[in-house]
Amino acid sequence: MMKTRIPLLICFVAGTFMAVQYFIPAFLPYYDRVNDYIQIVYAFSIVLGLASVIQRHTHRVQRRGPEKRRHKDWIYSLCALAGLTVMLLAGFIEGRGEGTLFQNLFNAILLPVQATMFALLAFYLASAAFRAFRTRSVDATVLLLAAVVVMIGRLDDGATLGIPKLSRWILDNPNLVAKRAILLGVGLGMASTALKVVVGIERSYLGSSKE
Amino acid sequence: MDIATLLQKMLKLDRRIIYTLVFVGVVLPFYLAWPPIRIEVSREVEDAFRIIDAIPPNSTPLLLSFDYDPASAAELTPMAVAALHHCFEREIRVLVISLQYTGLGAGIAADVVPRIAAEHGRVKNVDWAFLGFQPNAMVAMLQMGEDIKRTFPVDYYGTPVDSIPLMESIQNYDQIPAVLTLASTAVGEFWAIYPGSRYGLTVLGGLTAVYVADIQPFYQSGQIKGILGGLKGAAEYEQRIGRPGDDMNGMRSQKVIHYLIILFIALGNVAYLLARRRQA
Repeated sequence: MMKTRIPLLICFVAGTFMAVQYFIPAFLPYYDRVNDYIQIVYAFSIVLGLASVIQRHTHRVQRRGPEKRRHKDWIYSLCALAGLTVMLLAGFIEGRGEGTLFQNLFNAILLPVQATMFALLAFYLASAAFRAFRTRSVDATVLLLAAVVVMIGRLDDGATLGIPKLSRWILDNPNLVAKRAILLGVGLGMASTALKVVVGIERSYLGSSKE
Repeated sequence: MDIATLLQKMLKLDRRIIYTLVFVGVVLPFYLAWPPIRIEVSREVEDAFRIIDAIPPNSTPLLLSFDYDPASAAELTPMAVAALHHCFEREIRVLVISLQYTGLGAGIAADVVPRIAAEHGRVKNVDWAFLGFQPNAMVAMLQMGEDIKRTFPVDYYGTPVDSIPLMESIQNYDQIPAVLTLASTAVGEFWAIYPGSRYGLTVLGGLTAVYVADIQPFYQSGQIKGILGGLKGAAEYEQRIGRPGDDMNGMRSQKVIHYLIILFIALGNVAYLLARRRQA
């Protein structure tokens, strides 16, 4: 019984406090402290994440089972562990300032690798545009026309045809209306879910709804 | 070759041909300086420019938040560079932070900010400071609303923030005239929702083009006062501050690829519709 009641009580007190503190300036010092607590809990989650990454990849690198075989992708796990260790050591030993090993590794490896991965999207996008963007229905045709107008609206040549105005109209009206509706829906959904969690109706975060 | 075979071939165009065309379309404009680009400054960029330009020199700093990772660097780093040139030329102080959830934005800031500051002879910790990265952006933003020094006790380089001259007169958002968030994720939205509404902070967004549509409602409602959208936004800002730069080549590539994608969509649909008509 205590296993669920105490977490429910903590959740109720914390949730109610964060809801009312906005309206009561006297709660400000406590509000600051709660924010500090949240950051401390968050820091633990980073430690947990790091431990999980190390554990998962170490398992893959180790020879396991009766046949003492490694995971088929063990070499990638070894790379991940090596990268993690080198960056940690570089950061702790030399610091992170200009010209340090840490910053040079970041600039020379991580930055171009991530940028390259993202740049591949342009190739897939062009291929997908050719294969999938078809006028199969009225809805798809409207979507296609809107996409083309907004795309041309980003180009300087479109100005002669008045397309940037049309593109802005699409962004400022249909797009805005849909976005607002989604935002309002999400906001109301979040508020109602938060209320259900605070008052103890929604208990799935405890792992089980049974006492 | 009859039309039916041609249509079949078009519909089954090898993706390697498409990839090659995209590659050529991206690379060639960098060498040929073609096609020509004409930049007109949009209302959103003009609004952002005016707000930054109105910050008094050697006074309270612009808060510049690197809320993106290297994947978005091609679009957002040019904005950071343009904004820094603008500020340093006008002797506007800059306070740099990073709240991007993986912390990689801090690495980009550590590379970009000292380089641009050195070009203008601006002094670290006096004219600009880099406070580093804080995880959990939402809570960090709220903490900064009460006390920035408590949120960032030491800067990125390990210097206690209390000993940084730029930070002497800064307590919280009351001493920050505006924040420019360079964002590719919901962190940009958080700036409008939390510090913007709770503390009345003026929020400007430097955003990836794909994210602009998400943020547009916040601009129309006045919660975000100015937007630099994608590479085009960066080029417009450069144009506005009178420093057209390397973005022009990026814009040329982007223009070619946009036309190429439109051409692919048109070709794909023509082939599809003709094939459907023949089947009927």
